[in-house]
Amino acid sequence: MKIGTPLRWVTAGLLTLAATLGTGCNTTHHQVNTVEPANPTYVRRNIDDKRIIRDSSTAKSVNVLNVIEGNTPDGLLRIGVEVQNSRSKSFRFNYRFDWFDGQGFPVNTPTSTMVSQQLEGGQILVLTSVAPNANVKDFRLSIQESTREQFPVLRKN
Amino acid sequence: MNRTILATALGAAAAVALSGCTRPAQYVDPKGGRVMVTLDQINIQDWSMAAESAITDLLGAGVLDKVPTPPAVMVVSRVVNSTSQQIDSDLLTKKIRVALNKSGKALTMTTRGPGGSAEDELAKEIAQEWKDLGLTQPAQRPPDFSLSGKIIETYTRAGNYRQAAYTFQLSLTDNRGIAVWEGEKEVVKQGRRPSVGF
Repeated sequence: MKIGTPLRWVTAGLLTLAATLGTGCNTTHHQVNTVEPANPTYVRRNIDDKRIIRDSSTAKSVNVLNVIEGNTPDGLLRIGVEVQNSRSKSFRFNYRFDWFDGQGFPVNTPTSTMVSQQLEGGQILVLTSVAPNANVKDFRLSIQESTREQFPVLRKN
Repeated sequence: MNRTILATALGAAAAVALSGCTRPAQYVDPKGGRVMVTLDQINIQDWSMAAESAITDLLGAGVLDKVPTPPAVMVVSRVVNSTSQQIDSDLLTKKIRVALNKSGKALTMTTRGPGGSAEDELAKEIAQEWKDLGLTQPAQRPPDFSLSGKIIETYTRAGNYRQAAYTFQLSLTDNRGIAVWEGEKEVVKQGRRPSVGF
């Protein structure tokens, strides 16, 4: 075996590694850049919120920035939750708004259903919902990572 | 010894694989995220998402309050099916009707429909009986709005990947024949095979 052979293999390996890292240096992963007025004319009514985080990874990918409260022209409460994907990769998730009456009981409405959504890296989105009637003033937003599985994994009961 | 280990490993693997093939039936939340997703048909969550979008947009537009005597009265007109499937558009329109009814913004007239048909023929007969007998009854009035729509399917294939896009179009027309609200929701699904969950 020639003395230079290991050096040649090491060099080839380093060059391959450098090429791989070089292509990987473009770490944008199709992230989203945004442009908006520095001083927007809208006046947002942000409200305080309580968050219960069970999945910290999803909380980073769907980072809640603001909870906005408003009304429709005919007086129904309207809620907007502004979220941003803080990561660089796109993230698929489901969300659902549930509404509660004055006594805290859930209101059965067709809008309380899981909605599928995808956020690109850095993308900002406002998830919106309208209260089912004028007497409903409280809500809960549930956010869950996409539950898609190719084959169902069912536990035996 | 090696053959024994290999046979044991293969047997264990087969047992695991076969146990996964027998999937007992169980109930799932129809409004949750674990229903089946297929590309060749509109699934229940597609209907739910389309209805949710239409309801949120329609209630947010505030057009239903612009009637002389609220709540508004609405009839459901034709929802054209431009897909390759046999579908029942009530899966969409009923959800909208339920939401509008619960909001107190609009009530649906079930004794009138496209081509003189009625959703509830018995209710139509009863209303006629009241009218024929001249009995006191709440004043009837023509509908304020008509809800109509169209569902369109667009199918794309690239190699093994397929994409199915369903476009749900709705219009709310007032008694002047003018569409005072229009909404459109696209539900796009991609994949090579069905899945559970979305």
